[in-house]
This record gives sequence, structure tokens and C-alpha cells, in this order.
Amino acid sequence: MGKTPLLEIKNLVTEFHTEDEIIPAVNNVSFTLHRGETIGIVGESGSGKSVTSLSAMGLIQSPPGKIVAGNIQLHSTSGVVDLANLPNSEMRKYRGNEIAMIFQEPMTSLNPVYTCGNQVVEAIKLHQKGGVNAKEKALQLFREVKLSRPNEIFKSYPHEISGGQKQRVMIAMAMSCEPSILIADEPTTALDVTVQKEILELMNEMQYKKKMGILFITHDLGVIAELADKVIVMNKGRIVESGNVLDIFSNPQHPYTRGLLACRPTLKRRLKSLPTTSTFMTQNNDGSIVEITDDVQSVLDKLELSNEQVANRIKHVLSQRTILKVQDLKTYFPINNNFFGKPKRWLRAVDGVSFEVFEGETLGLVGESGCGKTTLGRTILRLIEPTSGSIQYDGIEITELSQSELRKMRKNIQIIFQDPYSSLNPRMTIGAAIMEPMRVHGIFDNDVDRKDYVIALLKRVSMKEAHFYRYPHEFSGGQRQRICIARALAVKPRFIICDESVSALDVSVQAEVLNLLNELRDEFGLTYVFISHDLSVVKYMSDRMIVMNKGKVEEIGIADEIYANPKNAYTKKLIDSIPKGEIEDIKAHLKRKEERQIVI
Amino acid sequence: MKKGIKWHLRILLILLLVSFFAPIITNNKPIYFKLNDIHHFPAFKDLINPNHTIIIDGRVLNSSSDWRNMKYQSVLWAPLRNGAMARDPHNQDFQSPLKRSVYNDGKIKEITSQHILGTDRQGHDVFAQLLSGIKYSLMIGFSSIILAAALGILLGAVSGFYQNVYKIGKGALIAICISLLPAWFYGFSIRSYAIIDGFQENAINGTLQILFSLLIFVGIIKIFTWLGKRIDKAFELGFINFPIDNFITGITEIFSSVPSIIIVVTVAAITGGKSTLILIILLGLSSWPVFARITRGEVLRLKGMPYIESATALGIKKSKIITHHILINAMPTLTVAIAFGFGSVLLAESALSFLNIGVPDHTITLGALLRSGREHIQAWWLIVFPGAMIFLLIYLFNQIGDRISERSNPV
Repeated sequence: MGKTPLLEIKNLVTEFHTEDEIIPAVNNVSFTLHRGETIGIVGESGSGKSVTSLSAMGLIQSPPGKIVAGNIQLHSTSGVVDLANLPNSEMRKYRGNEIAMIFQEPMTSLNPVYTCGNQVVEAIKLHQKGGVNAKEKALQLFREVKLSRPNEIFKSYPHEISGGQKQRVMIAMAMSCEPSILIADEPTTALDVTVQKEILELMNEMQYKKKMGILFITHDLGVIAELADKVIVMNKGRIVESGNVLDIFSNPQHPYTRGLLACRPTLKRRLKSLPTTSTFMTQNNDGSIVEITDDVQSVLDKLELSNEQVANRIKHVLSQRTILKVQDLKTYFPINNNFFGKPKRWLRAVDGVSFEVFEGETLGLVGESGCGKTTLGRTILRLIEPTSGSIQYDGIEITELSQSELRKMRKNIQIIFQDPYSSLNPRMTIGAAIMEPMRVHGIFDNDVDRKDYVIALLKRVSMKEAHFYRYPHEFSGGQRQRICIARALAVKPRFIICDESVSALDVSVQAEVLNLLNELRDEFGLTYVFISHDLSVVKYMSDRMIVMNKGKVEEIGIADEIYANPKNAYTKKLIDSIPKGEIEDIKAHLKRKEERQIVI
Repeated sequence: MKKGIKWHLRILLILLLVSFFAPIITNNKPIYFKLNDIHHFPAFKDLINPNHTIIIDGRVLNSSSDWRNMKYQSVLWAPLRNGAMARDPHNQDFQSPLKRSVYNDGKIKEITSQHILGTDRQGHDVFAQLLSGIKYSLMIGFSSIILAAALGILLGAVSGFYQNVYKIGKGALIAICISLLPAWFYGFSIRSYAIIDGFQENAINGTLQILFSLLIFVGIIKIFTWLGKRIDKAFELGFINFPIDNFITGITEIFSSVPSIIIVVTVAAITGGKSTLILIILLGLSSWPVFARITRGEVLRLKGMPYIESATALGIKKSKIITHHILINAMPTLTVAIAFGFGSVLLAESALSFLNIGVPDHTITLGALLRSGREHIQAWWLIVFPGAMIFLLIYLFNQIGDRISERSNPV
């Protein structure tokens, strides 16, 4: 196949000017996107991957952002233009027509006051002058992106359809003017794995049909493996490694890439702890990198637990006494009320769930969004009142406690939330936030002892003593999650519910936090209920796991057994949908692609 | 770039200081004099009570000439020798600041005037009145906005936090309803004379009396609530849901839909006279709905934040969650509202005083000064200077409000 270049980015430098300093978000980035090719850009938050794509679209807010140097050459039908130096009015001709973009949040990138059809029709009319029946075209696009019932979707408002359907509408909108380049900025991050799989398949198919070049930006290496031909790994605004997808996965050169590959929890093996990027390299203050180890496989082999160890652990856990017993728990929310304010219909968020948790174990709770796993976690804490059923913690019936008894009880059961950015009061210092619950529950007699304990806890979660007097906004997401963990531990609980506690974090940070959680479990003798939508994380963390769907328990059992031998159709589908990022998968995907090319 | 707030606060502070120390800057009484070997500080006494009298040799000194013609052992006059309350008989009937005027020593001087901003019909100095007018206007403004904010934030926070799910025991609810009657009776009805007497003595005494009454009122309700809860526990009467949000929102709607001027006129007619205290209360009562609405909205927004949920999960009390976690985060918004509200209260007071239904006749406020300009439309100095001062104060408060909101927004 002949390689026609579509987009050539040469030595791009994009800077952000703040009051104190100049931040080079993209630093000397060059690559070329060819027709029919998919380039995956991988990197953690702040690596400059999104800024690169926004620069190409001319969507950098100026001020504070500015393209300082470099070219972005677009090979359009009418010749070559340099987008880096194009005035905004000229740029509009190429946006949508030549380059289209889909964003991460399908929930907010559609305008809520217009129907989906209207918005697609608007995009079509904007770029194509006359002679086109816009509605006809929009409906045809809806069929192309495999929306079921396109006529109904055309007339519905964004809030009436699901996240996956919204992302399909977004893709239809991006396709409406038949662009030659599609930039996809984390298009599947906010979606469930099963939906993600469908969207990825759709994108593969659209690319093959329209011969587009796709620039796919994501933090998830597993997704890249299922889709990309070429991979660019970015860190701190620079490209650290780029190359063929198979080469990157089978033989990563840069230690950072090796770290990223190794720190994803794998589904096949059971590890003692996860390697992180710091296992492979350390970065000096001047930015130079010191390599420590070089081989991913040998690192993973060293950390792997033997079958015997795993079996012993399971045996040990199952022999412990029951600490939490949930029986036929139901939590319903009223959807609409009748004239007298009595609920007519109920949303059955948790619908008759029963399980037991043994002391010292980690019970994983996995399911897609809306399956009721979060509601279940909150109901156990009675942050949401249950409709019926029983929750027994250590023989005490939680559902029957009065408000003041419940407050005392909260000392024993703690929760760590998903969003570390908003689960800390922005107007309280870290020290005050951690000490407040200690005071409420009368842990230690005076503030001096409490402060000492808080500082010891902060040090335990790898924070510094000086952080005691800082405010939350001074910390990164990973640090905040550590603070949240320290605060939960401050009241000396025995039972912790982790509600998507690592979902908002980058993979390497996620690995560090997961390792920390595991260490703390053994150190403080804790019991976890670990809730997540990410099956690979849950499987790594938990001894036993529960698969939930539509408020009901689909399957419950030992994590490894469920993964190896799922009995339930839903569990099977869930496991199949996970992008695993194994070499065999990459080979299969590349082969599929080749076959398609031959067919043409 | 965020705009600075420093200069606005500095100008406001200077205005406050100047108006507080007005009796020392401009006064017909000396700052200090020595007579019969006794030291006197009449201007400083004016700071505390502008209506005080000094009796020397059995004679009450009140007119400017009395003060001027005393044979002092030693004396220190104020820089400007016009009192806010004193009349100047030589310069009555609207002396323009630009025209000649008769000086204290009896001589007539061309061009320059002794009254740098002119006089009104009775010969009051406009500059001296302006300075003390700022003080009274700000005092009335502050008092009523504090009243309004306290009431509004309390009610707004309660209605936003509990919404319509406030479970209360049947016994407790009945007890509270019953308690209102005796609480009112013992708190206010039989103490009404004590309160009125207190206010006739001075404002501080009156406020203390009111606070004492409130204490009795709240105390009686508390005792009844406690009894009600006991009854609930003993007989297990069960809980009913009190729709506290609807209730408070309803009251807010009623209060915000009644025009305050009509109430003020009516109340003035009933009480048979004008009173600063009643004005403060009325201004406060007519502006709290704004704060209640804003607070309710903020509380509803912040209640959904994960850190509120995590505070609940940590076992922190509801009252502490409201104050330490919700209200403290609502503070930027509320500060802005208070700054804007202050401007509008100031304007309302001016309007009422201009219509002669606000402050009593002998209290000088900026609005009351404007009113005296209505008597003689050619006396532009009675309109322009107080008007400009009202404009300046409102401008300052609006700017401060604006900039607080800008600064507290993390961009």
C-alpha cells in the first residue's frame, strides 16, 4: 500500500505562559500520520498528548497557550498548508472538513438543548453548501455508526440516550464531512468496557471504509494494542519512544515505556506487588534518566506468587470469621411520583444482594456503570438508606442503629472515594482534615498526640511532615488519594470500602496506590471491599470477587476461578471485552487489518 | 491578572475614620480647654454622645457664641470650627460655599466661605453634617445587613441542608408549637417596657435588653423541645416528616414579595414616630430573603460534593458539617452578596430618609441631608455633596463585592 502523508508535525513546541513561569507542554514533537493509519499517543496526564492534538486543531486557548515553534503540515485536497501559522478564520475551513475530533466526555460534548439529529444536521449544513438533504445524510450516518433505531435517536435529546450512543452520535458528527483525519481524545475512557469494545470496533471499521488517518490519544495501553499501527509514548511533553505497535509491546526500549507496560495489573498472573515506573528508572532533578533494570519479564517473574502461596492465602482467608454479613439488601430510588407524592415506579439500584466478608480479606466488587456497585457500598455505610434487608457488622445490625449510634459506628467502617480532587475540603489544611475525625471519635486524649500520629500516618503513606499545614490544591491526584487513605486510617478502622479509589489516577500512580493499599491491609489488619469497574484491577486486588449487573449479583467466588472459568454469560462477556494488551491480541488485530486491506 | 482590592478598602477605611473622628475635625466646641483649673475635652465627649451638655458656673453651654466667648485659661480648637448640630445664626438661609460669609470673628470676607460646603436653612454646616452622616448611614447599613445576613444564612442553610426530609418526633413538634406562646409572652410581651426603657437610655442598653429577651425566648423553646423529646421516647409516638424546605422557602417568598416602603410607612404610622432601631429592623427584615436564597442554593450545590459525603462517613456531626464544611466553602459567595447588599441597604435608607419616613429628625444621615436640599432647589450643594458621597460609598461596596467574587474564583 502506498503511503500518502496526511499530517506532518515537525518540531512542534507549545508553551503555556502563567504568571510565574513558562511551561512547555509540548516540547519538540515530530511525527507523520499517513492515510489509513492509526497512531496511538500514550502518556500519563500532563504528558502533553492532548495539547499536541489541540495544537493540530488550532484549539489552544491563547493566552495562556501559544505555539512557539514548529510546523503542522496538513496535506489536504487543495495542497499543503501549515496549520501552526494559520489565522483563526482560515483554520475554520479545515476544522470539521479535513480534521475532525471526538472528545472524552460524550456527556458534555453534545449540547443538551438540541436534539441529536439537529446537531448532526447543523454540522453537515455548515460545511456542505446546498444540494444535500441534510436529514437524509444524518440518518444514513446514524445507520453507519450502527445506532439502533436511528429515527428515534434523531429526535431524542442527549440526556435521553446512553453514553455509548452519545459517543456514536459524536462519531457520526465527526464523520459528517468525511474528514481525512480523525483525532480521538480518550474517546472511550468514560465508557464501560463492553461499550468501549463496540466503539473501538466501530472506529476500526470506519477507518477502513473511509481510509482515514486516526490519531488516537489514550492513557490505556490496552486500548492502543487493539487499535493502533504505530505508538508514540510521551512523557513531560517529549516523545520518549515511538515505533510499530508490535515492537513497542514486545521489545520496549525506553525504561519509561517498560514501566508503563509493567505497571498495568495483568489478568494472567497473580503478583505480590505491582512494579511501577520507579522500578525501571529514576529521574534526577535535571531531567536526566537513570535506568535501573531493563527487562519487563524478569521483573514480573520475580514478583509472581507461586500457586502454593495463592492457595494458602485463599485457605487462610476462608477460615477467618465473618466480619460483615449482608442479607437480601434492597435499595430502591423513586423515579416518578404520583399526585399524592407516593412513588409510582422504583429504580432498583440494589436488588436483593446477599454476601459475606471474611476478616482480613479483600472482596472485589466489579460491574459496569449503573450496576449498583457504588450504591451498594454506600448503603453498607448507610450514606444511603436501604429499602429493606439486613447488614450485620461484627454482629451489630447497622440498619437499626440510631443516628448517634451510627456516628460512633463510623469509626469502624471507612470509605475511600473515587475523586481525590473533591473528597477533601478545599478550605482545610491536610492536618486539620485528618485530625477532625480523630477528635470526634476521641482517639488520643490531646492534640499533641493526635498530631504525632497524623504525621506518622502521613509518613507511612509516603507524604512529608511539612505537608501537615498545606492545603489540598497543592497536591497531585495521587498524593491526594494518599491523604484520603491516611484520613480513613486515622480513626483506626477495621473495615474499609474502596469505591473506585484508583479509577481517576494514572496507571503508574494507580500501581503505587494499589501497592500501598495492599501493604496497609497486612500492616493494620484491615478488611477491604474493593469496588471498581476495572476487572483487571479488581482481580489483582481481591481474594474473592462479586460480579454485579443491574442491581443483582451475577457471580460470586474466588477471583482467579471466576476469571479462569466464568460460569455466567455476563461475566464471560465482561472478561472478553477487557483490552488486555497481550502480544497475541496485537498480532490478531494486525492480521485482521491486513486481511481487510487485501479484500479491497 | 486579578484586580486589587487594597485601594478600595483603604478609601473606605479612611472615610470610616474621618466620619468617626468628625467631632474632632470640625466642631464648634474646643477639643480641649482649661477652666477653673479643671481640664475639659468636650469634642471627645461628642464622639460618644453628640447630645451631651456641659455645665460651667451653673450655665449650660449650647450655642457657638457661648463657647467662643468663654474666658479660658488655655484652649485648643478643632481645625474647622463648625459643629454638625450647631446652628450658625450669621450664615442661615442656604449660604453657598462659593459666596461670602460672616466669619466667627464678625468680619465679612469675600470669596472664601467659613462653611466650605455651604449651609442649610438653619445654618447647619454641610461639611460637618456630611462627615457625621457617613457614620450614621454606615451604622444603619451595617446593623441591618448583619441582621439580614444572620437571619438569611441560618434559614437558607437549614432549608438547603435538610430539604424536605426533616424527621421530627410528633411530641417534639407539638411541644415546639405550644412553647411559642409562653416564649413570646415571657420573652417579649412582659418585657416590652424594659426594652423600650433600655432604648430610651441608649442603644447599647436597649440591644442588651433585646438579647436578654431572645435568650428567654430560645430557652423556653429549648425546655419544651427537651420535654417533647422525652415524651417521644417514653411513648414511642413515632416521627413525622416536616417539609422544612417548603416552609422556609414559602416564608422567603412572602417576605420578598412585600414592598418594604409600604411596611415602613405603616409601621411609622403605628409607632407614631420615627426610630432608627425600627428602621434597622425593617431594612434587615426586608433584605434577608436574598441571603436565604443564595445560601440555600450554595448549600444545595456543596451538599453534593464528595467531601461532604466523606465527612459524613467519618462520623462528623451534622451541625459541624454545616458550619465547618459547607458554610465555610459558601463564604466567598456570601461575602459578595453581603457587599452588594450593603450598597442596596444604604440606598434604601437614603431613599426612606429622603422621603422623611426614615430616621428621626435629629439624626443626620446622607439621605436626610438630601432631603433638606429638596426645600430649596437652588442650593445645589445640599444635593451634590451628599449625593456624591452616597454614590462613592455604593460604588466602593459594589467594587469590593465584584473583586471578592473575582478573586475567590480560581481561574
